[in-house]
Formats: sequence, structure tokens, C-alpha cells
Amino acid sequence: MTRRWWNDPGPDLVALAVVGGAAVLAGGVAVVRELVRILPNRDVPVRVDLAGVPHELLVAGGTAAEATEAVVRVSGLGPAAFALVLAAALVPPVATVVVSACFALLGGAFFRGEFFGRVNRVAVNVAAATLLVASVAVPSLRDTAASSALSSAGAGTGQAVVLGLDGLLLLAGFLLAGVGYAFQRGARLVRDTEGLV
Amino acid sequence: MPVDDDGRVHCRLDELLAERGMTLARLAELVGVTVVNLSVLKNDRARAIRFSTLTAICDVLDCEVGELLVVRPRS
Repeated sequence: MTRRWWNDPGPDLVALAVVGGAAVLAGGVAVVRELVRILPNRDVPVRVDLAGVPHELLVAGGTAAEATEAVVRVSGLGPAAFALVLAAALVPPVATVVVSACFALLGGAFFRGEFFGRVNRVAVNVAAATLLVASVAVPSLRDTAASSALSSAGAGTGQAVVLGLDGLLLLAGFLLAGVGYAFQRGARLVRDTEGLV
Repeated sequence: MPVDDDGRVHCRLDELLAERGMTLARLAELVGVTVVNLSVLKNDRARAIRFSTLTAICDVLDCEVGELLVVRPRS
């Protein structure tokens, strides 16, 4: 019986590996770009959430709009604020690199017909843990860095640590953790059926 | 949990095939199991056997389970 193209997972798995590899490269480029932008500590762009203090704007044609976010440029940040801004900028691309590398690894392994190997289990669990940590770290660092940078520029909100949660990343992390558990059970099934005739 | 006693079960497939003048390939054909799997069983490298495989082999060789599989004493 011939296998129809829509039932052949090969191209999808190659695409997963290729897209994962491309995302790793893009993440690496983003890390370098953020370092170049932030390391000189001059005109560092800091994203500030304006949701608490909405600003009404008038855009072309007299349409009313509301600004909920702004980019503030600050220079000469103190060590703590600088570290926070740097971490806030680097954590998302680093998380992207880690998760993409795991997906690229999984795509390649699946294509070679390796499913429940130790490397695959580790890759799924690392991706899940990265997403779970990022779900808290990304919004918390972003908001804390903004607060710290504003304080450093003399326009502080007085809030030292701002905790946040990204629901989508959290859900994706839990989903992958579930897949990781399935992999663990799969590996056990493979072990149990080894030598079965 | 049972003690791991791998290797104590001996498969007498070789002897039973010789007695009947049958080849492993012919048995594989009649039973519907691959020669590779039967070879694993014959060389005592199998760690588990499906009831369906066991009954099919016994049916073809016209033997009892006890004639096919024997448990060796602990050394």
C-alpha cells in the first residue's frame, strides 16, 4: 500500500527541525541585538506599561486612540536597574533559543524514528521548564525593570518588585509538561515490551 | 514485585523443529510471526511472549506449552 503524502509525517518533521533551527538563529541574533542596544548604558529603551494611567491620543484623521505602552529612553542606569533591564531584554530571546533548540532536536529525532529516547525526554522537559519559568520571569522582569529604570531616571513608581504572569506561556509550559509525562510513560512501555515476541 | 530471573526460561524450539523436520522460516510462515522474532525466541533472547504467539506455535507444532518452554533451575 502506498503512503499518501498527507499521511507522511516526514516533511512536517523536517519543517519542525528547520523552523526550530531558524528560530534558534533568530533568537541568537536577538540576544546580540539586545546586548548592543543595552550594554553601552546610553539611551537604553525601556518599555513602560501605561495601563494604569491611560493617555489619550489623536491619530491621523482625528481618530481617538489610547496609548497603553511607551518606550522610555534612559541613560546611566545604576547597577541594579541596569542588570534588571539587561535580564528583561535577554530572557525572552534566550527562552526562545532554548525552546526552539529543543523543538529542532525533537524534529530531527522523530525524523530518524527515535521517539522515547533519553535525549527526547530531556528536550521536552527542558522546553516545558523553560516555558514555565518564562511565564513568570518575562512579565515580572519586564515590569520590574521598567519600574527600576523609571526610579533611576527620577520618575519612579516606588514599587521595587512587580510580579507578573503570562497565561499563554504558562499554559504552553503545562501542556509540554504533560507531553513530557507521556514520553516518560512511552519510554517505560518500550522498556517493558523489549524482547516481546 | 517478582525477582528478575531473566534467562532461566529456555525455549526448546530448536529441538521441536528438528523432531518435526521443519525450518524456522516455514514455522514463521505458518505462525504469522517474523523469522527475526522466532529467532529471538529460539535463541532464548526473548523476555516476554504473547499468548497469541505461544498458542499459534503450539498449534503448528502440535505440542504443549510445557514442551516448548522449560524453566531451568537456579544456578
